[in-house]
Amino acid sequence: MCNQGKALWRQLMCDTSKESLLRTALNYTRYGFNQLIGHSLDILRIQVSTYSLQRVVEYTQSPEAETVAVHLRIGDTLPGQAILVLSMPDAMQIVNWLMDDLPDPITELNALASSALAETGNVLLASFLNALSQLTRQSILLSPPTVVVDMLATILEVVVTNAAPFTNELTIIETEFQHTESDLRLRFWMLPELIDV
Amino acid sequence: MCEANKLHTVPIGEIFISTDPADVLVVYGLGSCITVCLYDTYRQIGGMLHALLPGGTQNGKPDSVSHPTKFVDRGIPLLLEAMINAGTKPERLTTYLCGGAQVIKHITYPHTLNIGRRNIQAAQAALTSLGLTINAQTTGGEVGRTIKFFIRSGQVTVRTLGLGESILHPK
Repeated sequence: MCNQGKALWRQLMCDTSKESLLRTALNYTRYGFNQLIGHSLDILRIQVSTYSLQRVVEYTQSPEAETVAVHLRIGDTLPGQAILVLSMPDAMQIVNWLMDDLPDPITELNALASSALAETGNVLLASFLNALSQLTRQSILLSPPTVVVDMLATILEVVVTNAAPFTNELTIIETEFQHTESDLRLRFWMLPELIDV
Repeated sequence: MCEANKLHTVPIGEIFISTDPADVLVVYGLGSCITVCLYDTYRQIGGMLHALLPGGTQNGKPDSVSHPTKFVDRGIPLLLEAMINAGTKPERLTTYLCGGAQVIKHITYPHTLNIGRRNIQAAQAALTSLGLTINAQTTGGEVGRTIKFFIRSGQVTVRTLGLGESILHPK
């Protein structure tokens, strides 16, 4: 990883204060959500945790919970992974907000719902990373989004598998958002590839 | 009267050996990883490996830096060795192979290309080279599985989202 990338990841992991680069970029995520869905989000918490691959299972308190994740790989100067994680009911709520002109609410994750979630994830994650790119004047590339529906532990295993050849530890920068008027929550994970940091 | 079950989560890249009939070894949401369960009915000894990547070699030599049991090809011989150290004999073992799903469909990293299938192939090759026959398996597919291994009975159960729980019957 280049030195610029290392420095930027360090900055994101070490400074979660009110005026930090991380919070500033996360506010663009809130703005992106508001523009796309027409609802507001608050930042509930930001947490940086590091686990050995063996202990990462402790991260999930409900490992078998049905979970929807939108996954992107980040490249160029900030290599890593970015993932939006939602419970199935919250994912369905977002889909129905997006599709508010449909006569009947969508209740299962069909192709239309999956596509809507991929777009939501793409907009939120891209809002954050574009903001970060502009604020730091560094180039950050994204892979296309993938929607995964499975147990929370399975989704965590996907990110561990991606990171495992480079490291025996996993650092997760987690931001939890809550809808301003309901209990709907989104979790946003960023996982740096800290090969030799 | 039977003692209450004691649940032990087997972390990624770990081996767990048990001689306690009350133990239940579990891996939640197994995706492209594999678990190998070995069971000695005669001695009620069970062992489980939870491995992440197919091969633990770099440039043809063993990768000495990484945790060896995160690799299928290095973890399986270590699982058998740990079972023998616990008092079993290879000819008494029932072997179960689980996992190797392809959860994420597009290629995000070159090393995760067909990672589930490569884990299965690595496990089959390692088990064969050790003279172990796979008696039952649930492998491949596109969804995660929760695997429970009951030391009292040697029974292995598989749970997937939407399909409930079933018993993996050995041949």
